[in-house]
Amino acid sequence: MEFVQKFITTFQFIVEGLWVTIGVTVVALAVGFVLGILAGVARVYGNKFLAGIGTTYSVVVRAVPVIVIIFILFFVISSLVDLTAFWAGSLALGFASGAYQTEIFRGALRSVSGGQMTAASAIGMSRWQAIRHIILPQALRLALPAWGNEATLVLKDSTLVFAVGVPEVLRRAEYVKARTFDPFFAYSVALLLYLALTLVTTQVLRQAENRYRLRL
Amino acid sequence: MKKVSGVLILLVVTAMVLGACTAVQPGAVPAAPAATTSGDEAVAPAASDGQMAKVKAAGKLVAGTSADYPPYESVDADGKFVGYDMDLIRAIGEKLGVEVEIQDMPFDSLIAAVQQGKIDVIIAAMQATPERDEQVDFTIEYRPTKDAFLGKGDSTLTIAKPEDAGGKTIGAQTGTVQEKWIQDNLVATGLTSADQVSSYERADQAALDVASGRIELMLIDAEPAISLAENNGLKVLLLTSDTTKGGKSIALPNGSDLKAEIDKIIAEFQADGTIQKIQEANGLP
Amino acid sequence: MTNSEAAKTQPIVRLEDIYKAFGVTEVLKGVSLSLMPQEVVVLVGPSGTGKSTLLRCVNLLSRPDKGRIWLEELEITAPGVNEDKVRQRVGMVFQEFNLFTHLTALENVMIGMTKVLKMDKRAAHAKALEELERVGLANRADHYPAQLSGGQKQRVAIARALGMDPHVMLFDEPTSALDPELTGEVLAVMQKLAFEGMTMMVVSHEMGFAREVADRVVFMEGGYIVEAGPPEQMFDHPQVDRTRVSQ
Repeated sequence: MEFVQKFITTFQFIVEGLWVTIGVTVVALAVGFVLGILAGVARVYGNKFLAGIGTTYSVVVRAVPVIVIIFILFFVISSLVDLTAFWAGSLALGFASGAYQTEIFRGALRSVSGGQMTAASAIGMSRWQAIRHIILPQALRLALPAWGNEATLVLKDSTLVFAVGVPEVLRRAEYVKARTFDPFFAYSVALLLYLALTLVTTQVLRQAENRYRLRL
Repeated sequence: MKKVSGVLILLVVTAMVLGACTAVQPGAVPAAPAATTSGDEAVAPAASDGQMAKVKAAGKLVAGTSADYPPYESVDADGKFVGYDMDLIRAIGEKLGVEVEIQDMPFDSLIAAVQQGKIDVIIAAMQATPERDEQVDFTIEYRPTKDAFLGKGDSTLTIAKPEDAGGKTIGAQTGTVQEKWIQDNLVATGLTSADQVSSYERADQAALDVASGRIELMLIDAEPAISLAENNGLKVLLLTSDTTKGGKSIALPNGSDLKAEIDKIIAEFQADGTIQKIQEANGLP
Repeated sequence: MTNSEAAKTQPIVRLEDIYKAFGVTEVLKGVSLSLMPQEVVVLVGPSGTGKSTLLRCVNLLSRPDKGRIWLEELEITAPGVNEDKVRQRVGMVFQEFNLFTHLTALENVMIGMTKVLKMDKRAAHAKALEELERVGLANRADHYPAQLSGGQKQRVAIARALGMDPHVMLFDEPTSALDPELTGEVLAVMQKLAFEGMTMMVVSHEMGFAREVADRVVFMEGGYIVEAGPPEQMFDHPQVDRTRVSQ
């Protein structure tokens, strides 16, 4: 009984970090999505200059640990604009995720058959119209499985934003542990929360995959 | 000025990243404090120009801490920041006539954060070492420091003086003065080989490894050592001030005009017994 | 009647001395050809002789290295001509159908109307249904390409091209990727289009179709036009000894 009580108290304390974790993950994924699409399209369809920017971004950022990216961006961003730790941390994580998403979208764009672009050109679409209305919608569908994987990775990487002072689930678990000197409860609760989030995320994305699957 | 310092930091940090890539430091969180050393002169004035006026205008003092270090700083079941340091900084805020906002972050991030003006002061049981002093300004000590060597509950080691720890496997928290003492006095002197030293993100992780026998000793600040020892069934092998230099101080950006003010308040608190009260309220000797 | 009489005096497509090479391989070595309104021209000849490349030059999917091309009064090979605008006036059907896989049959036909011609959605919807009706597939409007047979896919592709109201239709081996039993339905649609007066340029190996539908058959070999004429003449009384020419 004491066990259950202790578990519930711990849970109630740590679960308050859930919205922070979800918030950081959603913002980071969204920012990474936009950057990933832009850099992915730049790499596959851009001119030399744009492709160069896309490649540099993706290669450099992926070569550096995410935590370092967060650190750099936090201090760079924060010296230019006054952002809260939450926004700085989320944007930084998104910047890092964008590099990985670039690769996901680049692969997906490449796997759309060349005939699609030819057919789009043949009905008078400009290159940009073809990318936007024909190539990207297909690439996004092809990218879904890999993107779902990235989503769960970003969820786990969201713990890293504590480096700049955002108290998410794991940090709240650490508070409990520092106070009670009992890592078991604290980390079990954190584990359960991450497990639940990951399961929900994969489930939602699987549904999306089934719904939008490209029938080839 | 702001733009310039931004660019400087970008350059310095980029250099740091490149450095970190060529020489990987195991287990080390990127050491932001070290990165800003050369950019210090450029950064400091931007962060500290009339800090007092800035704090007073905002009506709040943002104090950075790393809230996993009871009884100095931790978070209670209601989510409030509590502990010796928290009581002290709130009392200081009251004297200054401003509210105190606590910003929790990893210990390693604190110095960079205060240099960048993300926080106004650091209060985190931090010791004023010469290395840190180059990057930030410290107030006068608000509490003297002792360190403790901890061993397993059934440890048979005798540590009469700090050097007796030589040749044993030993752990400490990353970025702390204890870790540095081990490097400077045990590793550099050849008493202990580098691979016998483990660095931990947090003190409790080191305690768990001592309890499980993965390391023989850990070196840590004395007060948390006592509760840590109790909770993990560890034994205090030696309490000493030989390993410490100076006591715990509050850190501010270099050149901050707030330092004189806080120094004055700390002296006042020492004289009028406020410090004594805070100490007792938090169960410290 | 006078209008169409006048129109008939000017070719819809005029290719003049077209050269094209891919790397060191010369594919077209000076080809000239005109297409009059409502004319159906079928290009025949061994594979790899530049028929498809010639076709792709007409809507600039392939740019000739040398030579000029007119689409009605416009010289499309002139500098500064907007390729996209040219292609809006030229419908093309591919061997591999190239339907947009993420769109239904109806959406495939609609997307050019809404995105390129900026037609109103409702009008595009109605017109797209008409075009599908024209190729006999109105009942498959909501099917995705993967749910259609090869022949049906190719008919949707034809409807997609027709939706843009092209002035000329290009067919690049439209039945080559189909099982033999499915070629009939596609050829029937093409024959109907020809009968309705569509100007068409067709690369095909379907000799029966060429004989029945073509106004003119053009025989190509080795990057040249070897012989051209009405189908009866081409199939029954060839003027050129092909072995001599291909030396």
